[in-house]
Amino acid sequence: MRSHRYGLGKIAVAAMLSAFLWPGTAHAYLDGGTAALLFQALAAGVFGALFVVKMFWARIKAFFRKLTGRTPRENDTNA
Amino acid sequence: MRDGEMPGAVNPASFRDPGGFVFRGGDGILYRQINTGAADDYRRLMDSGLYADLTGAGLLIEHDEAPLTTRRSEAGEIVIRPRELPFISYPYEWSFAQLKEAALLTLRVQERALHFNMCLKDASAYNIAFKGTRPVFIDTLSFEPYAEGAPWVAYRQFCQHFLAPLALAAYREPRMSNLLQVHLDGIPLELASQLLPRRTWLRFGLLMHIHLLASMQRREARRQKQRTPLDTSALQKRSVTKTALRGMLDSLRGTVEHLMYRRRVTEWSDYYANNSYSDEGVECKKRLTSAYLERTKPRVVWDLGANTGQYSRIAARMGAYTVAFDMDWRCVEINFQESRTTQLDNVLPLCMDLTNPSPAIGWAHRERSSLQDRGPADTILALALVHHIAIGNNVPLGRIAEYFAKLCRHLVIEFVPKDDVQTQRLLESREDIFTGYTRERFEAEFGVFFRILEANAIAGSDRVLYLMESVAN
Repeated sequence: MRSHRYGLGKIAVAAMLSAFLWPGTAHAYLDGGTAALLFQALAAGVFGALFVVKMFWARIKAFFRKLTGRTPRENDTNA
Repeated sequence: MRDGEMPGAVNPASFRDPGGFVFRGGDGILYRQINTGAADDYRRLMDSGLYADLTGAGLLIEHDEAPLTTRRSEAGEIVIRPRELPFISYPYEWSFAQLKEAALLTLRVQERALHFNMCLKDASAYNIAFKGTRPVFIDTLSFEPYAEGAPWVAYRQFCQHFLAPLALAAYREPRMSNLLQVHLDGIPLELASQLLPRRTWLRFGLLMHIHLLASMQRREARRQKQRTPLDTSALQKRSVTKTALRGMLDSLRGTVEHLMYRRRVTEWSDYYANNSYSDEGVECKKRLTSAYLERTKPRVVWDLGANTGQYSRIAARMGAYTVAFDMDWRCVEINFQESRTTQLDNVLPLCMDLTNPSPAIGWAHRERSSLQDRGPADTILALALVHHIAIGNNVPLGRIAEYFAKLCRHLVIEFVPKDDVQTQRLLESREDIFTGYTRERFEAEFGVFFRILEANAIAGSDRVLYLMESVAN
């Protein structure tokens, strides 16, 4: 009985993760790992926020460089 | 040559992705079959402009489309002919800088792919090959359409294949990337997290991409063991937006870029500054090596025991694709940087212990080839090497000759006599049981497998440089 319940649970998890939540990953041949997929969803806000701040900061720097006539460093274009 | 390289054979490492496989055609040319299920993704790669973008930047291997008649099976919808590289190396043979370059290349490819609304569906280090000192992405079938909101399915694989070995090499010991030979799908993150020093918890990138991810994996394993259903309620409200994904890639890139290995001198890395050669001897040896290579005109040279690559670069300058093996990771690192600086793009430095060369590993021992299976080379350079194998590792001269005959057609080999200061160093702390280690015996033993074409003394020493040709040739 337990194994039956577990089996259904596993199918439900796979369906939730791959098909329902993220349709694009349904046919991936690679096992992304439940933990790694969940981790990305949980940490997405942190990575997204840091990236937005970094881009914003790069724009501010670029603006002041333009004012002072200095050329930007190569790294700054990646931000 | 291994059986998978025979005409008509499917590459034995090409089976994980049902989207297609690599095979050697009856005409000896390397092809990649793309099956119906993956054909749309391939067309999107080509039509979206991503292929042109990546190949234009030298990031992805170029290919031509081949007639469908060349397909290997009915499932094939498209056949392509990728540009073939002279030698395929593996991540466990790369130096720190090479693995780092390969990691950054993977991230660049993924970032470029996102611009074209595509995504890498895997991030295996085996998707990267080195063409000389330049890494290139070789799996044309690794691209799929990007689905907005989806996490990166290859994220864990990237961390296992690249971030974990690089972090271990940087924070513990460069040789720890050897773990990649044991763990073919990358170093498990729980293991990496345990092995890394505690201070790495203070590095944001390593904290996120190794330690916290490993904790999450442990928690997930516990949950599965206890058969507790997964709580997905919170996740339904969250998705990984493109900005978040780009942020994650940016964080991975920053983390990889900041990893540095500790510089230190190893047993061999200052060999040229600290050996028994006079300037006259070095010049003579270089001249003889050039003359021998000029005579054999090799396309592919393997320099065994290459040290920092002084002689590899002679072969490379003469136009040969030169694979420079050394067991000392620091020498390989120096060779890689030097070859980059001198802009020699046909030298491939690799870590290899010749007393225990890379074996055939993976599924059925056929996924990753042994060193021997990747040969034979046109010419082998074995300079100042034979005494280390014969005396340092007790291998009888006949066995060295037999093995070298399997690896090459021509052999440039230096005999270092017993009274040479370097050989004496090897005998310093041990009994001399090597009564058969003489020039006469060397010539007799190698004479079984090779014809001796030339033998010239190296000026200012009792050493002799030979040019030999395999009798099986």
